[in-house]
Amino acid sequence: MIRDITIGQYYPSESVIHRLDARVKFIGTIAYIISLFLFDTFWGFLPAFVWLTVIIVLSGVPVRYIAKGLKAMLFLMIFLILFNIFLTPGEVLAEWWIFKITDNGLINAAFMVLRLMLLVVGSGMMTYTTTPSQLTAGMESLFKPLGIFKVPVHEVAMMMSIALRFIPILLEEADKIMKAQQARGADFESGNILKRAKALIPVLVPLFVSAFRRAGELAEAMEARCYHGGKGRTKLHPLKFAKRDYVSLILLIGFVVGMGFMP
Amino acid sequence: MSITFDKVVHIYGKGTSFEKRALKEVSFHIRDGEFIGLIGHTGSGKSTLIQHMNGLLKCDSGNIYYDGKDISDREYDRKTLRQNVGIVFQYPEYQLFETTVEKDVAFGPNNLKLPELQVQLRTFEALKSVGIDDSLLDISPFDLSGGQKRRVAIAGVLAMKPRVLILDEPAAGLDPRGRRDILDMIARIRREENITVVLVSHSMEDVAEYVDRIMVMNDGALAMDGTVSEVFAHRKELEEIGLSVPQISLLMSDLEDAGLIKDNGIYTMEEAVKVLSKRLLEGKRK
Repeated sequence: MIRDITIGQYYPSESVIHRLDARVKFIGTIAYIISLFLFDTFWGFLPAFVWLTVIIVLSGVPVRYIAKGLKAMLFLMIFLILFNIFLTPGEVLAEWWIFKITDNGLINAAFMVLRLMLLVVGSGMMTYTTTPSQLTAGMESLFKPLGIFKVPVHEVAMMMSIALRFIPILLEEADKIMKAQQARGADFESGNILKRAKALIPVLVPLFVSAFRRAGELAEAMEARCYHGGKGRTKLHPLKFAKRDYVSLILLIGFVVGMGFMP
Repeated sequence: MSITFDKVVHIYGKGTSFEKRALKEVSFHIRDGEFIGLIGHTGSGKSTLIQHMNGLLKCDSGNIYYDGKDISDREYDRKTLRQNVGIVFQYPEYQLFETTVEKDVAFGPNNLKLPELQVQLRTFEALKSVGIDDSLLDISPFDLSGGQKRRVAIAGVLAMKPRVLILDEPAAGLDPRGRRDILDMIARIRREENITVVLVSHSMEDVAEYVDRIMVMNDGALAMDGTVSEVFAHRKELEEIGLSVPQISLLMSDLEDAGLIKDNGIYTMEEAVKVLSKRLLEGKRK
């Protein structure tokens, strides 16, 4: 159950999207996210949807896998829908006790949820098709200019990639600990929210302990291999733009400019 | 408690590209009070099998019975099952979480909603039977040594007073002395409490020395099932599936091949010492 969370997890494949330079994908994702906020009628969703569909098809990541990642957001989406439906002023369509459903509320809710879904799936596509190490290398190279302002670009990038790398490991560990505590009669499934939150203590404490233990071991292993930060560090596979990267950049610019003209 | 598996099948990731049949129609019967050794190489389905034994995993088809009662029945109480069947997972010390040793061991009995006095009694008993001194009761479990932590974690399961105790590699990562202590302790608890024990192990030596019956898992199926001598007589088959016989048996069979001793079928150091010293005395007399 807990292992079903696929958001942010790399999906190995050999597609064009997978082979794109990580910097292109990163810039593309940011541009795509911004473009989602450039329009305020439903027409804008059309090109965004087409663009995303093309990327998904090209990437070969199964829709099922993507949908699973979206499932994690279900709670937030329901929240968003309810708040928008009931709290937006406008012409009242239906009324019950203190709840009023308005036309603007329905429109708003649909708009927000569509936008959120496109946002989540779109940014998910970057992590599905880019390994953490590529992503880190890409971000490091993009943000390098910030080094002038004493921003520790390499260190931040390294931290990010480690964090991403450890998500599946910690999930598996949580699963194991939960089973062990269930074997001792722990009950995670019944009771109210407060009781359930309390029931998680026997899982969270060992999980934190093991996270710290792993962090210590990782630091030692890195030091044993002479890691000393980004200074003077070279790469086995330096990032290099290929033809497909320039083509994608041109397409991307076209897309964003087009989105800018959307009503 | 007796355990019966009838054609139990488990499939991971059903319907996805990651689909894997982890158990393929596994059937067996374990009598009350037996000491079972479960062996098999990594990924052979041992862990999946033991997680079915207390309902942490549900089988996709087949049935599991305890004392003749089907545990997938709606009426079968899951809580009683978890109480009756205790599992000690690999590296159980990583599951300690409370502020003191006493509280951690009391976690299980408290979940059973036992009266306070009963909880305390069970906690003390469990800690005593794993050999943890009373002076350590109020210490944080995180301040104990590796071996002590493991004992406390095992005590946490024993405090549930299970009728079936399943241990996944309880001696992994311990030094030779620690291994022996833990395994001796398990054998003793089994005798005293008269419970069924399933010991998962990678050490053929440990299995040969402690258990009565060996079950061999290979690729999700039960490949062999029999007494220690029955199973270890199939050296070739065991080697084919990535296992082996105890090292001392290898030595003894080499000696037999060289015509120095007869009587093969020796699986523990103790037996070997007996046979060899007898042979040496005979040699001297000649």
